[in-house]
Amino acid sequence: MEQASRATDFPIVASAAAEEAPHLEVSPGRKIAGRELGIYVHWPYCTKICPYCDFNVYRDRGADHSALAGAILVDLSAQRRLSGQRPVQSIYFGGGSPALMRPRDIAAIIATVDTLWGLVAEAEISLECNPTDLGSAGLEALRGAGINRLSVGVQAFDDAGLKSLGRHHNRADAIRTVTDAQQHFERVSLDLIYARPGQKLEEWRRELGFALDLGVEHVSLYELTIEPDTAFGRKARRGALPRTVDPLEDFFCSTREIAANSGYAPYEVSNFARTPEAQARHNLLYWRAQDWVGVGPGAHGRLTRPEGRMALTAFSRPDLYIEGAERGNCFEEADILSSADAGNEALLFGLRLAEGIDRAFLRDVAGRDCDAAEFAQLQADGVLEKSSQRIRATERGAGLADALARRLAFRH
Amino acid sequence: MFPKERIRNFSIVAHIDHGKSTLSDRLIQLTGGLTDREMKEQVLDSMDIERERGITIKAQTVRLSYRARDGLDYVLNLIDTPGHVDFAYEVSRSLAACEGSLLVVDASQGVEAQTLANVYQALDNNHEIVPVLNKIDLPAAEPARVKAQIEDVIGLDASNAVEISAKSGLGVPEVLEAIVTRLPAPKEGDENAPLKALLVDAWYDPYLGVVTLVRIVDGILKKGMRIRMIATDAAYLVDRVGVFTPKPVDMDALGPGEIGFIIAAVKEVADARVGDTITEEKRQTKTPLTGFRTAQPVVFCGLFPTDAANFEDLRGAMSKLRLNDASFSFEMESSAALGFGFRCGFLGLLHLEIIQERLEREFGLDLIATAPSVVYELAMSDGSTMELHNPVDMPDVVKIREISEPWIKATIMSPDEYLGPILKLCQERRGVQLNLSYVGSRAMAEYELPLNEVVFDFYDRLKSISKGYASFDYSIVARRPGDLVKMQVLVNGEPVDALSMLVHRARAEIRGRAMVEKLKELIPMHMFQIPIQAAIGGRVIARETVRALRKDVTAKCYGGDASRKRKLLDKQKEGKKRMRQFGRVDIPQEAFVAALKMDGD
Repeated sequence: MEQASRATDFPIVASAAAEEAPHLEVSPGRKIAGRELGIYVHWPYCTKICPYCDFNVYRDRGADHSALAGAILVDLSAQRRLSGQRPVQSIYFGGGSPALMRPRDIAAIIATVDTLWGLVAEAEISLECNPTDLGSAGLEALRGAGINRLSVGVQAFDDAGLKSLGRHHNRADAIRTVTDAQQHFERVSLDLIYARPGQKLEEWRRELGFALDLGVEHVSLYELTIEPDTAFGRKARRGALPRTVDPLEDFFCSTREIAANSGYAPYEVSNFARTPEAQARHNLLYWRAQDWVGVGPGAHGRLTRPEGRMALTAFSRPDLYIEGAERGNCFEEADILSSADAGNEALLFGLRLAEGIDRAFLRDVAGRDCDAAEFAQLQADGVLEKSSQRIRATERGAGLADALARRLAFRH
Repeated sequence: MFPKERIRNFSIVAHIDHGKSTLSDRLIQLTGGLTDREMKEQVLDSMDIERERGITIKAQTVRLSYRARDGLDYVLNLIDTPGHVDFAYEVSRSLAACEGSLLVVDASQGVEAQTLANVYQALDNNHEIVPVLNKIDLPAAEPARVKAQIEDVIGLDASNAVEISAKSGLGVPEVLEAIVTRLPAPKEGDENAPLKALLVDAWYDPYLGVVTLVRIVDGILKKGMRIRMIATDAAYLVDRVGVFTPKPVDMDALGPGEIGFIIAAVKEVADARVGDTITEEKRQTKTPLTGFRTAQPVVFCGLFPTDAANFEDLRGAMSKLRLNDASFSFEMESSAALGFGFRCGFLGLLHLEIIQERLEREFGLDLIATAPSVVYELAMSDGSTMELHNPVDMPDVVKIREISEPWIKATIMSPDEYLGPILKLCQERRGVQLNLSYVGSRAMAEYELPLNEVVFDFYDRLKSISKGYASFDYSIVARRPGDLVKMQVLVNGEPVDALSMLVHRARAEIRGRAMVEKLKELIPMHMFQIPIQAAIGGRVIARETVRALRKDVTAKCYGGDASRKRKLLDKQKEGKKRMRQFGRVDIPQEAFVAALKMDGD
C-alpha cells in the first residue's frame, strides 16, 4: 500500500521549497492579534456536478486522491507559519464531495492540524455529505477518522423537487441518510433548497415542517440562487428554467416564521439552530470576521497579521494546486486588504447575524466608524438598531443584509 | 474649369434603408473615385452614428468623373442628403444646389412618407427626377406595382424608371447614363459675370478648420481671391479651393455650375451662414441669392451631467458639437434637483437622441435628459407675450391669459392592415384628420397634430403598432391656443421638476396615470415605501406606491464568498452613481426618458 502511506508520511514541518517564501514569513517573536482560527479544507471532486452549483468542483474521473491529500498537508504546514501559533477552534471539510475522501486522508489532515496548531478540546470538526455518498459503515468510518458533526446536503424531501435540482437521490435516501447520521453523530445539520423551479410556497411549507420534525439540531435553508456560470444559469438565459410560483420574499419570510415556530432560531440569514451550542461554530468564524486558513484547490483564507488582514486564494485547478505544493506555494493570490475592504467584509458578514456586529471590533477593523447620517436614516426606517456595544438588523431588516451593507459600506 | 454643358448636379431622394448610401457607394466605385482598398461600406456616412443607424445627418458631396457612352467626359456632382424629417432643412439647401434628383424607391416596399416629402421639395426646386427602383433582385420586388404607385402618389412618369440592385451592382451603369441623358446641365451661369456662389454647407474639420461647401452660379472662384459673404458682411482670403472625390483634391478655380469646397480663415461654423451668397470683394454681384430660412429648434430638453462634477466637461463637449451643428442650441440652466446643466434646443427628437448619444459616446459623459418640451407661447394678462421653453419656468397660472402650442401637419403612409390602430393613435393624440387616401393596399393619412403629443413617443408607438411598416413625416403649420396645464410629478412628496410637463387638460389624467405607473416600475424598492403622484396645481390626479424592500440578501455567504461579495459591493456603489437622489429616493437616470414613453394601446 505504497499510496496509502504517502499521505500520512508527508513531512509535517515545512519543506525546503516553502522556506523560500520569506515575504510571507512572520517575524519571530511578533504577536498576532487575538482572532479565533479555523481551518477550511476544500475537496473539489464530485461524482456528478449539480446544475445550480458554482463552487470550484470537478467530476472525479479517477483523480489521484493521495496526491491532493498530500498537497493539502504541505499547504497546511506552509500556512502555519503565516497564521502564527494559536489554537484551532474548528475544521470544516467542504467541497465538492468531501465524504468521498478516504477516511485515512481525513484523519491525517486532522492529526496534522493538531500537530501544527493544537486543536481546542471541544473543537468542531464538520464534514459535508450527500445522501448517496455513504452507507452506515461509511458514516462510522468518518466518525472514526475524527469527524464530530455531519452536514447532510438533502436539498429536498420530495422526489419531484430532487429531480428538478438534478440530484441523484430520492426522498427515501434522504430520510434514511438523516436518520443514519443521527445514529452515528450527535451533531447533525441538514441543508434544504427552496424556491426551486416551479415550486409553490404551500408545498415548501409542508416540506419544511416535515424536515424540522426529524429533530436535527441545525438546518441551513437556502433560497435557490441562479448563478450565471452554471447549468441553471445557462438554462435561465435561454428562458428555459421555470421560476417559483410565489414571490421570493414570501418564501423567505415564511421560512423564518416556520423555523422559529418549531424552535429553530434564525441566528443567520439562512441558518437555524435549536440551541446556541448547535450553531455552526466554524461558519460563525466567517460571519464574525475571524481568521481561517483555507486549504485545497480554490480555497480562500483570511489571516490577520501585523501588516493587515491578508486575503489568500489557492490555485483553483487541482493539478496547479498540487504543483504549487511541490514548489511550496499554493497561492494564486495573496493580498493585504485595505481597512475599508476589511471593514466591508465585516459588514457583509456581520449584518447577516442576528447578534449583529460588535461596534468596537468594526471600528478596529475598518479604522473608522460607520457613516453616522446613513446609520441614523436606517434606524429611522426601522431596519437597523444599535446598542452601546453592537449594531444589527431589526426583524424587519433581517432579509436586507446586502442592502444594509451597501448603504453602510466604507469608501476607499 | 469644366464646361457646364457637361456638368450634372444631382441629389438622391430616398427613404431610410431604401439603398441611397449603397447606390452612392456604387456610383463612386464605378467612376473610380476611390480604389477598392479605400472603399469602405457607405463612404458618405462618415460619423459612427450615421453608419450604425444607417442614416445621414450632414449633407456630403462627391464629384464623379464619368466618360459617358457618347464618348465625352462628364462631371457628376452628387450631394447626399439626410433622409430624416428632423433634418429637412439640410435637404432643402442641398436640393437648391442641384438641377436634378434620383428618386430611389425600394421595389418591394414602395413609396414612404419621407420620400414623398423630399420629392415634393425637389419638385419645388424645379428638379428633373429620374425614378430608380432598387432591390429589384429581391423575391418580394414588385416593380410594376411600385411604378404605378409612383405615378399615382407622386404624379411622376415611372415608365422608364431604372431598375437596379445597388447591392449587386446590377443596372447601376444605366443610372450613370440616365444622369447624363435625362438630368439637365446647370441652366444659367456666366463665367465673366461677378462671382456669385451659394454657401451650401459648412462644417468644422479638426485638420482644416472650417470647410465651406459652395455651388458656383456666376463667375469664377479662385485660390487667393478675396471674397465677401454678403449676409454676415465679412471678407476672407481663399486659402484653398477644391472638390471631394470624395477625398479632398485641390483645384485652381471653380466655374459656373461647379460644386466644391473652399477653405478661408473662417473661425467658426456660425460665421459661414448656410444659404449666404459669396461674392468677390473687388467686384461684387448686384443680385445676391435669396438664401434659406434658418432652422429653428422645435424641441427643448434639459441635459444634466449625472455627476455634477462633470458640468464643465459637458459645456466643453457641447461647444465642440455646436462647431459642426449650428442648429443645436444650448444655454445654462439650473434645477433644484439636478443641479447645473443646459437647456438645449433641437430640430426634432432624432436630433435630440443623436446629440445625446454623441455626448455620451464621443465625450464619455453620463447624462440625464429631462422631459422634451416644445415651445409654448404664453399670452399674459398684462398684454405681454412670452415664449416658454421649459415647464419649470411657467409663471403663475393667474397671470396667464392663454397658452398656444405648435401644431404639425403629419403624413403617415402604411399598409392598410395597420390603418385602424394608426387612426386611433392619431385620434388619442388630439389629431384632426385632413385626408385619407389609398393607393392599392397602401393608405396615406394626413393629420394635424399638436407637436407636444408627438415629441414623446409618437414615432415609437407608430413603429410598434405598424410592425415598422408605417412611415411618418411632418412639418410645423401653426401655433394654436389650447387648454394646457402644467403637470407635476411628486416622488415621496417632493416635486421632481425634471419630470414636469405641459399637457392638454383632457389628456392629463391618462398621461399622469401612465407616468406614475411607469415610474413605479423604474424606481427601485427602498427601505421605506415611496408614494409617486402626478398633480395639477395642488390636485393629485394619479398615484402609485413603490413598496418597501423586504429582502435583499444572498442566500449563501461563507468564507469563499468574501472576496466576490466585497468586489460586488464596490461595483454596486459604482452603479449608484448612475442614480440621482431626490430627497431620499434614488431615481435611475434612464427613468427620466423612459417615464415619458407610454406603453399599451
